[in-house]
Amino acid sequence: MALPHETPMVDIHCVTKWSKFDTSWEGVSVDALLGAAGGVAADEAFVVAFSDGGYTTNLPLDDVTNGKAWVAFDYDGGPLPAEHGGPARLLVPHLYFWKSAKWVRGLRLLTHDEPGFWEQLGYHNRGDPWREQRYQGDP
Amino acid sequence: MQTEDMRLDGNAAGGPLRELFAMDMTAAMATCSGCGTARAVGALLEYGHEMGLILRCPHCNMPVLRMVRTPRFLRLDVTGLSFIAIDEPVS
Amino acid sequence: MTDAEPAAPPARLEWRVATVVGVRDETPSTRTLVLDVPEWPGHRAGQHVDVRLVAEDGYQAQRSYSIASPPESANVELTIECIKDAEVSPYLHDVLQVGDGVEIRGPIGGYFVWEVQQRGPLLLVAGGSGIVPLMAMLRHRAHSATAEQARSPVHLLYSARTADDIIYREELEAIAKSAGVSVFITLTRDAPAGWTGYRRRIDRAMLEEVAWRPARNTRAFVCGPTPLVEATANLLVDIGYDAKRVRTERFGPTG
Repeated sequence: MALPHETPMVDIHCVTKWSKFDTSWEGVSVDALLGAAGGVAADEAFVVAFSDGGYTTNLPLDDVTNGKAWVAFDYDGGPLPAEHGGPARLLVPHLYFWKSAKWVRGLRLLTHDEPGFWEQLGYHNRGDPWREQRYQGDP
Repeated sequence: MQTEDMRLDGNAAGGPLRELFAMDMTAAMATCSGCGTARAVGALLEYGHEMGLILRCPHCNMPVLRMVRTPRFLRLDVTGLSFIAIDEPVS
Repeated sequence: MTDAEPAAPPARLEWRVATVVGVRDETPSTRTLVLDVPEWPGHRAGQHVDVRLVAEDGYQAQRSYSIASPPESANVELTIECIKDAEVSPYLHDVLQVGDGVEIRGPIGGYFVWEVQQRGPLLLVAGGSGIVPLMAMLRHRAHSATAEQARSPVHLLYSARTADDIIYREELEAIAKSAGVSVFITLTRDAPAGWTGYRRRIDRAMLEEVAWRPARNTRAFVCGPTPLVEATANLLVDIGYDAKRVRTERFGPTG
């Protein structure tokens, strides 16, 4: 599929409090993927990213559109290694890094929010590091 | 797909499970509700580490036990666990 | 009608501050911490402790370390391999000094444990720092009465990168001379001139030469990097070991 590639350089924030700055990636923007897939229905406001092994994570659609997210397959100039989520992972750098689902297989658009794997166990539905939204109930 | 080299096993979960169950759980025989295989908790595959605890069945990969514990809450999902058997050690 | 006296509830597993009373370099990348742990309840060979480090900003890192000392020891010894860029082991390996305190919780584990009373031939397979809990088992055995030891002959297969990476090398050479113990070492990266041991990764042929013929009371304990542990456990089952009598402890990716 010949979708345009982008090369974002971003900071990433892990929920266990470390951050890594100026990481460089290559991937396809989620905007381009959604466009190629036929766009988004008016009432679809949420996304679930799913990977092998039953892993899922949920996010508001607004957090993966308008240049905020990619499906990345290259990291630091080379193919994304398996231990970092390769061959492809979701990349949503403005949210805590667990939202950037490794080994991503697809994105499902929903009209309602559906807590994913870690969110069912108490992690936040959105995960904004600037508001320290780690767990359900964090404002 | 998960990098298998990185996984640990139920032995590494011994501390958190001891806190929860008030007894050692690594020698407990756990039956997976997915495939019915019974294995010692110490022989289950452990993932997750930074975020929480996930123990998976080595036979069918089903999450047998999932746990997140913080100072403010505990969440425990055991839908993958249908039975636990513990034998007291012979003294 | 009275029931039998109920057993005392198990001791609460609490974090305690242990004091480092000794430090011993084992290899260029491993060292042993000798800890004095207040009110230590004793432990079984094969068990581990959790170690917790708390940074000034409250960030906590926690890792498990196998106990190297046998139950018969007064102090608790941990042998730490320094893993570059890791969160906990560089601190324990490079920074901690005699007199410092370190938070530990334990002993933990009831699966990967062995007592000499269990009898029967014992096969121990270690990769790298996986030797640590197996050394606790060997040391525990060495403390036991000769008759007990005779009932638990041991074969140890230890995989290390180079001769310099063999942890407890002199002690293993001494143990290898004792009755009922055979020690086999395989070096996977580099061997010194005159090396008569194995020189390759553990494979089926090696296990067939080293392992006890599987019998009803044979036990195997395999510990070390995850890929080595899984490959070895699978091979042991292939050569006839009952999967339930092969116990494993994975240490994660190769350091």
